[in-house]
Amino acid sequence: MDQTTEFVHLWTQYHRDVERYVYSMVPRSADAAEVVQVVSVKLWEKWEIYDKERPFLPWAMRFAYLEILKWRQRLARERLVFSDELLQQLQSTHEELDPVMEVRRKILGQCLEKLNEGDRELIRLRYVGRHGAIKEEAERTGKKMHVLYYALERIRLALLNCIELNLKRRGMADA
Amino acid sequence: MHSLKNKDLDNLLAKLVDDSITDEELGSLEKILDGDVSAQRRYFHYLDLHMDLQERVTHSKIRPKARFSLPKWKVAGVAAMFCLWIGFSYFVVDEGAGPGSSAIGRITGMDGLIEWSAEDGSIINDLSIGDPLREGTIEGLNSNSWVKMEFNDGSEAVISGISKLKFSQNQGSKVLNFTQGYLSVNAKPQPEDNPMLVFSPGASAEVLGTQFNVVASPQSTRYMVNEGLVRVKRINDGSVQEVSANHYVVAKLEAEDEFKSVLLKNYSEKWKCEFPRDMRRGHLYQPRSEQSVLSPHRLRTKPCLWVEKGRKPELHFSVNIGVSATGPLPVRINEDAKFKVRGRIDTNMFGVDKSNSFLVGFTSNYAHGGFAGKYITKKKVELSPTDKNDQFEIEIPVSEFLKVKKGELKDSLVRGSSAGLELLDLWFLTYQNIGLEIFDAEIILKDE
Repeated sequence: MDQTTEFVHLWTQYHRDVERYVYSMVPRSADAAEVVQVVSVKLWEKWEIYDKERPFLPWAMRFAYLEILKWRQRLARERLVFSDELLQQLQSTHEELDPVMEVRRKILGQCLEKLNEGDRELIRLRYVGRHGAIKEEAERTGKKMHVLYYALERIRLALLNCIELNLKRRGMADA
Repeated sequence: MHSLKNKDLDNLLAKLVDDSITDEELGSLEKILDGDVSAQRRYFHYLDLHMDLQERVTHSKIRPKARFSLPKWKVAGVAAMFCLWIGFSYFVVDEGAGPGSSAIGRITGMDGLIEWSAEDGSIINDLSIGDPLREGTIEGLNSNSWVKMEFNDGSEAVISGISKLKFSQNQGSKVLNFTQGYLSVNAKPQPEDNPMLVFSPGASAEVLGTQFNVVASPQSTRYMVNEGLVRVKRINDGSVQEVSANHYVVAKLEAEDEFKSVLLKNYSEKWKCEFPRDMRRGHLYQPRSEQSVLSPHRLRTKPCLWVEKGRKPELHFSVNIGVSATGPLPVRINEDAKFKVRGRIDTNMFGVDKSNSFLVGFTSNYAHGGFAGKYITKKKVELSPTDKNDQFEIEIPVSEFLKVKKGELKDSLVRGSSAGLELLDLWFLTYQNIGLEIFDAEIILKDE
């Protein structure tokens, strides 16, 4: 596998993990997407010095963390950023949680199956990736927007509870 | 964690992921998280759930039950086909994880960043011409992307631009789930009891054998039929339109809008962009004036790592504006047309070149469907240092654009007329972030 192919292969495999991590540290999806793009470029620029014997993801995460700090410095004047102290705390909590996240994601699939059709449809509308879908649903059904957003909040909590319950059954409480 | 605090936290997290959190609430969130590992865990779990739901919906793992019903007389036939299909599936499914196992078609042409993914989470983005395809989702990830597929029965489908097509077989029917972008289909005659089924935003269609184009935007789908007949059903109210050759129908999500097959006697040669409708890529925002009044939209470039097989990845900063891809009517290129563009370059940005130049390109399709090529030109704008702003207004004749000819390692530009082609989208691109923003773009005829 040549250098370019290997990079593309690894980035394709892991970019969603990097995306999740950045999003948890940069609490605005548009900003997070830009940080991830910058991370991908940095990784490519530094690809020649990457030690192929070592795992890719922690290497990529390190760059992601540095880019998050840079992003934070750039926007320090705005309020929509966490403090340095909290970022560090979040970083260490994230490292500790990392191994159980994959288990939680697998359980989510089972929990989604338990939702009724209406709740599934609402989730689909919210996450279909376009503006105004919830507003259109409110107009279509005659429900108020905030009622639909409360419903979404309720569904997310139900999913979180379902995941927690499953983890407890597997003896993985507080994971 | 105390349950009341937990409730507050959940409430703030919901606002955070729904992009409605205020500065003050973010401050409250920070206070709750600070020093509380349990709250931090909850924070990560909540955000991870949000990301996971986004990913699952994007990859069509969460979707409503298909509402397209086959006529009753077909059910018996379908049941029989289903038994055969189950039997057949036993031998062909799960032969491997790649796109080639259980192939239902192959790639016959492609360019740009293309990704194939399956429901099991496998993703492949180094596809080549000739590669077989099994059931999955194929996506054009950038405005310049296109891919042509040929199914085993000879039917062809082309997606272009930022597009997403999920293809599968169900009870003997080909099922195309098209959620975004431009799709052109040349369907070979399908068995009468197993028509090709196309699902798209606000509509579904039943196809027996025809040539048609589909433009899917978030709010609506336009089906344009060039040959044969397509039966289009609006999902909202179940109303059906039979769309024959040289007709089109637009199915919008709002049921009160007219849903009627219309003779395609006119196409447009002029066009003016309308935000947010035509925004396909970029950061769209509305600046506030000193009086706190919202100004018109601006579309600012977004970064993207452009990856093509066999080539070094490149960093692009681009915006993409839909023309035929998002507008109500197809727009065809007149040889005397020109683009008129208003925008801005952020001259306050540090560390970028001062050439004030960028690439402008468009994607075209043949009037009767199918990818026709990409055209590109380079533009340099003069910004007056004496003017207080850094805005520009330029006009670019269509004849200035050169056709991109794909090479194995690099592209070349050749002269080639785009007159008569359908203009799908328009994009602006730089290799450094010069803070390019587009306010407005239109196509006018030269004598205007």
